[in-house]
Amino acid sequence: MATEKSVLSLLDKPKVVGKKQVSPRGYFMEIYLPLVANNAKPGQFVTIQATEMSARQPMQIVDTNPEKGTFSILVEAYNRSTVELVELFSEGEELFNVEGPNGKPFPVEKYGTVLLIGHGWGAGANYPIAKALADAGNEVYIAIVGGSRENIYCESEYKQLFGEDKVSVYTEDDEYGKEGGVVQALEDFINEKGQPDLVVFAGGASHGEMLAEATKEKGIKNLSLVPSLMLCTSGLCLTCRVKVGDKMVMNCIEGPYLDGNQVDWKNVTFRTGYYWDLEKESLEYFLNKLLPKLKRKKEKKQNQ
Amino acid sequence: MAIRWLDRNETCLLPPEVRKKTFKEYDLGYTINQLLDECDRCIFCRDYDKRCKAGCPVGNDIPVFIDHVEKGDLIGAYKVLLKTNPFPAITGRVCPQERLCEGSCILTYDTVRKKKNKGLAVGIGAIERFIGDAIRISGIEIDEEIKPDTGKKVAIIGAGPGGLTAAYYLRKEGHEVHVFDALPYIGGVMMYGIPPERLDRSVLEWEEKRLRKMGIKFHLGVLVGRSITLYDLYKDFDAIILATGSGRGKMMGIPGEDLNGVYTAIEFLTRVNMMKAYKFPESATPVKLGKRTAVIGGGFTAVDCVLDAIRLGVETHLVYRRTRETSSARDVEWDHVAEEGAILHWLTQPIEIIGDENGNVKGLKCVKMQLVEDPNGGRPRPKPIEGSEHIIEVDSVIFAVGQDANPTAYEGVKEIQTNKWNNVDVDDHFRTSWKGVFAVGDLVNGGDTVVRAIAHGRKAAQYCHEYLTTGEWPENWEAHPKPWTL
Repeated sequence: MATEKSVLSLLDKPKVVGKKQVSPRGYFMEIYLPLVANNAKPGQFVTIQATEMSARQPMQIVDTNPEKGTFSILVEAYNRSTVELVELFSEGEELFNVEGPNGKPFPVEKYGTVLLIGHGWGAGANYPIAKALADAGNEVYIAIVGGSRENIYCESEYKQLFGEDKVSVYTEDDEYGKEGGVVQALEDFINEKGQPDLVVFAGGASHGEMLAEATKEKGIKNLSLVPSLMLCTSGLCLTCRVKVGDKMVMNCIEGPYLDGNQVDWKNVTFRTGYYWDLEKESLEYFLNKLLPKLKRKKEKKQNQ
Repeated sequence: MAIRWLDRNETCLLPPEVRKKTFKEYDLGYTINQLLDECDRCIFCRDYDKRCKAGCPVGNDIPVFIDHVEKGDLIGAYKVLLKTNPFPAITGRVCPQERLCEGSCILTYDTVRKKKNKGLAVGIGAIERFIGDAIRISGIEIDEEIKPDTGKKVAIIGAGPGGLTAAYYLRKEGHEVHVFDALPYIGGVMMYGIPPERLDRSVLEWEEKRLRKMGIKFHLGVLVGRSITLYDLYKDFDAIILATGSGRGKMMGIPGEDLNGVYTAIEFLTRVNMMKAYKFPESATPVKLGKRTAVIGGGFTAVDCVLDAIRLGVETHLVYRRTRETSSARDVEWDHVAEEGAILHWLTQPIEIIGDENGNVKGLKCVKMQLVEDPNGGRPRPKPIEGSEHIIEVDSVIFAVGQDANPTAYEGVKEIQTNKWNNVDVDDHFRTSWKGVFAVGDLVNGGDTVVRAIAHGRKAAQYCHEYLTTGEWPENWEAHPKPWTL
């Protein structure tokens, strides 16, 4: 993790420098923060608190550009934090705070044949890992899965990097690509190419749970991003605690990629749902009350 | 003049009905006349260095600042305090004075003859707080004397009381000081832990401005151990001070801890105090205690959790396995929370958290305890009473049962020697086993008060300054055998 550059030369205020919409709810955002751009390793994330009143939202780092001092994230705007990011921030605007890079880097080793399955935003999360695993001499295959076509991300980026034949696309509503979910993607792969040496997964907990059942049954090594709730993301509060086998693991500093076959996914799924009613309320409050106010404020400022 | 043994001035509190509905500070401190009258009670012991001063972990010159107040010189009093304690407005609020300076006041206890006296201590805490607040709201800017730049750079890891104090005194010596913290705010436990109803956040904001004005640089959002390593800092800085605390949440290992609605104290407090969940939904961070909650524990943190829970409008049960008298929180604080409506269950040990069919908490199964003599002469030990199992119906549970080390910053750094609790070993100069690296606060003693961390911060700054000046480091470094006495 040691960097060549001096730490002090990398410290600056985080700023949005680019925003590109790629689907109705999906955006790539480029953020200037040299510390993250230079130090991030595949699998690490940042914690973004967009405004003083925002929650702390972990976001996987999709790509880095050390020369420019920037990194990119894939924002699928589905909750208050992600909607705030895409609604309130455009080029040149400072974020309240970005902590990172955070989490344990993904263990990049030579595994052999690796299938990386990303559901929705998970395709972005897996992107730097796919690159690093290929560089480490693995045979890398990609499955991009989404509920529907609008949740398919990074298809062209992956295809450009690995070639068309290494990348397959699935939608659960059969709108695009092949029909099916994460388990279908694994089964098709096994039928065509045989059992992979490693499956890497990123996406929602319910999909992680289904996939882990399949890999466990087939005895395939599985490293999955566990999308637990997080709060302090510095190893204090235990909000992100996950049962892995008989151990309690702090996902923020030990994860986010953990042994998928050992993770108690049922617990993750229901614990991540604890605040769903409040999250809905929070998003509605933002859209109906805060956003119009903030927009008026911004217009006023621009007119002056 | 007659000694005024008993007529101590007590600070004014908001009435329970008012204060339980607000996150504003409920202790209003002294009025100016109370302040002057209370200063009048001090008898200015000539050997005060064996009394109140010795009882104060930072060694404040208490009669000296009281004398300044009496002479109508608050600025002078503040300057006396700054020599030993950069944050009097904070310690005046959060110190357990009755067991520190006030517990050593001759009116209540003669520390020299070791015997109890008949009076009530001078209200040192409230006087100290007044002095800090008076300067804070006066608009006067006290110019800090800062020595010329030395060209030396110090990295301080952790912006809590220990780290900030070390930063203050090292900056005054003319060093370039950089403070790193993972969280977006300074203050550490004073921000995420101590609730605003006990420490108004305007105090912290003012202290931050002071420190920034002195030229201290803050880098917030950097998790040492993940974002950067200690080795990175070691390369770039002339000295490092570790002040990362020991604040990892802890539970008891009873069944049901993975249910929804189970919080560690630090998660709950962070949501409410730092992320302002009490302003939800304007503030985006939620907290969900349901209608009733149980706080487990008997220390300061348990009290803080109870204060916050009550202010969220939740029926709050406090569950502790010992008695009120043997708890480590102040007696008066139990009175305060009881007045606010908290239901206190003493001699009650939780044994299981009961969940409903959806995995949400619905009750806390407990057993009643009785205290039995410890054959080794220690504190009486609680022992379960057979057949006393019962369930307290609650929708959430908050564990305030202690804290663990958070070694993220120094994990795997083989140059730094740690002990069996994963805390960092230091010698009597707060030096770690790695040349140029010091450690202060809870990560040295495993968990103590804010003022203890401030004391560490000041002493370590002094030793660090000596090291930066002379370059001397012991060849045969040896860990202090009792770090909790430092």
